[in-house]
Amino acid sequence: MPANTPLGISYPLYSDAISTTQAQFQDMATDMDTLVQQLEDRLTAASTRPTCKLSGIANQLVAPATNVTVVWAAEDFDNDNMANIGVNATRIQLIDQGIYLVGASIALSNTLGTYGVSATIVNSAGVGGGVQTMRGVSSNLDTTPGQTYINPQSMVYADGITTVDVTVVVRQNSAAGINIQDRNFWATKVSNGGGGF
Amino acid sequence: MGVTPNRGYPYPDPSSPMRITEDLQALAEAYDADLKSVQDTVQQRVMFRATASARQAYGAGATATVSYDVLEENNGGALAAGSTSMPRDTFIPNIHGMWMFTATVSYPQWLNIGWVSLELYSTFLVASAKATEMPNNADGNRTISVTGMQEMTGTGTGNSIRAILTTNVAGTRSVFPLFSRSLTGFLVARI
Repeated sequence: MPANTPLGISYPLYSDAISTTQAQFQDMATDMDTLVQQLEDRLTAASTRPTCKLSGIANQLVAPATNVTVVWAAEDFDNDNMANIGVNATRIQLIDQGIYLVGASIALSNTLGTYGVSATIVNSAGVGGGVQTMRGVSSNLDTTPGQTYINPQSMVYADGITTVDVTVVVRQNSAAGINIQDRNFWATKVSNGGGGF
Repeated sequence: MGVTPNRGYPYPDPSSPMRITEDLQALAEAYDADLKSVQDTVQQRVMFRATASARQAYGAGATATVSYDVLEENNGGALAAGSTSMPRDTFIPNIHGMWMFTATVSYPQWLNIGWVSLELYSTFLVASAKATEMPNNADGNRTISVTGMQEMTGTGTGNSIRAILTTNVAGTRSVFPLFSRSLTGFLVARI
């Protein structure tokens, strides 16, 4: 009757019949094969973390005192089916279990006067269906410079069971509409969190 | 002889002659060589970090490419060979993949300044952050940071990254200093 090492590699005991040796050899080799393949798979996964980057250029209007969810036009990179702008052009989906670093760079057209503008990374899995997990704030001062940039970042946990949608919401308080212009939005898994690989 | 499905480890099948010691040696040697090849793929996290604490004069124009004096980290072959001598302001990641970059610059409070921006720039804008300055001298230094993600091709000849600081300082002094500053890049996903 063979025994097993702590990782599950089977080996024959001294009392085992010699007639079972060849079958036990095969079991041992197969167990070692499985463990090394599992190790290599985990190492490969660690060097290619789920990552996604979206971008857009075309003007998107932000009316005064209105929450506007940013729309994306291109999937620059996506190695885990985290985005599909043909289905939904506003979100990145965090599918695999883990902790993700999420960020955006948003350019906004300027407007005359001293007003505020914010960009918020919204996490669908938060309490009440939406949590402002990070807010970047800047101000439009006058007609120079040409654009105002906001660069919010946040860390978001996904449990691997319920997919987390992350989006970017822009709001401004000037007297007229301004445009969201050059922009990108990205997420990358940085840790497994509790459990998983 | 049979072989395992994933790694090709040899084992005797029922029709093979009984050669316990030889078969054990063959399995052990195959396992040893294969595990070594897997171990060799484990490297340090690919990343670099450049810093500077000596002042960088800023005042010749409204835009300055931030320079660095010390390459504190260059792990896992992160930077191209021609991109490691210091001081420098531009870095070339040497591995194809998605990279995360963060730049931080500390600078003094300036009078008559409306805004300051810090850009991560390749041959195009990667990310930018802008801050509004408080127009008084009641407190000391200010800090601005920007973080962005970009695919770098890893050719070692192009696809560089640098940080650019811009302000609309009105010029109450001829030269301003940039204080502590850093640029960090790390590979988040190979391509």
